[in-house]
Amino acid sequence: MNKYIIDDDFLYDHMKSAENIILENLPKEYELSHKFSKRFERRMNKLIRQERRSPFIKSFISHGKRVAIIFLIFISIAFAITMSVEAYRVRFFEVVIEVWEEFTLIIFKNKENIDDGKLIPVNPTYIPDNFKIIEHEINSYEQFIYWQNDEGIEIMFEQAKITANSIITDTEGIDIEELLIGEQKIIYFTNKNINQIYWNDSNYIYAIISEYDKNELLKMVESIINNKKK
Amino acid sequence: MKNESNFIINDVEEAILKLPINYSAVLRLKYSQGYTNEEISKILKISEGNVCQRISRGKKKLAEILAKEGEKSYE
Repeated sequence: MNKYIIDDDFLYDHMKSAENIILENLPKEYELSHKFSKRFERRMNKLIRQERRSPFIKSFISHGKRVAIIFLIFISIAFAITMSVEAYRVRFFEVVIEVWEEFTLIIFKNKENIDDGKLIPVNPTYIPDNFKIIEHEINSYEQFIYWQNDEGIEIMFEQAKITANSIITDTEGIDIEELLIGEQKIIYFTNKNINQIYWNDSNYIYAIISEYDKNELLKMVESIINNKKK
Repeated sequence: MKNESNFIINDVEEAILKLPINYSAVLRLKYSQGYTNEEISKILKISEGNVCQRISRGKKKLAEILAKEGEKSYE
């Protein structure tokens, strides 16, 4: 039987000293013999340079980017309208992916109400070993499923109806891969050890996000794509 | 028990060090650094609900580890 009562007071009493032990056990700077890659050094130097900029320059750069994005969205919309006139009666929506130095903007636009009905869930038929559902939220527009394994690693799956929407995700210094699963194009990247996969069909945008093995996540994606075809 | 830096570690601290990183990170931010659940959700880019869940599961896991350690010391 446990002699401790694990409540907030207990944790406030002990967490600080446990954290001090963790910090004390970190190797001292002179003990570190690790040689950082040139890419890492470049990114760190870039970060340091960014931090040294004056608030005025920071604000100028930030606003400059916003103006550039708005301009690009405007151009994209103008292009989409032209396309939709030419492709008369063909359902049209467009996914624009803008890769910027510090983030990626994924924009979904549709000119029609493509689907007024409720969301029809398409779930993966392949789940990696030892993962169990811990949370499932579903409504008319989107569903989220979270799985977790014994080690506490989580996988998040999202299926959402495409509306006039956008996703902004932090991809600074990250290479984005475009992969093909069958005929389905998917976007894959890793940031801060978190794998992120996005793709879409004519009605929905899908996302799988997890720190778990990339190949296992791709198998989940494949099972969702195949399940959708049925 | 002593760790590598010759700190004397008690049972509770030892159990905290054994927690999986996703629980210990949230618990350290809350109970050592004093962040609110909302601030932790922004730092770790997870939902506030997920923060609460991790705190609750972290406490449960900590209780399990302490119970196991307690059993061992009686053996």
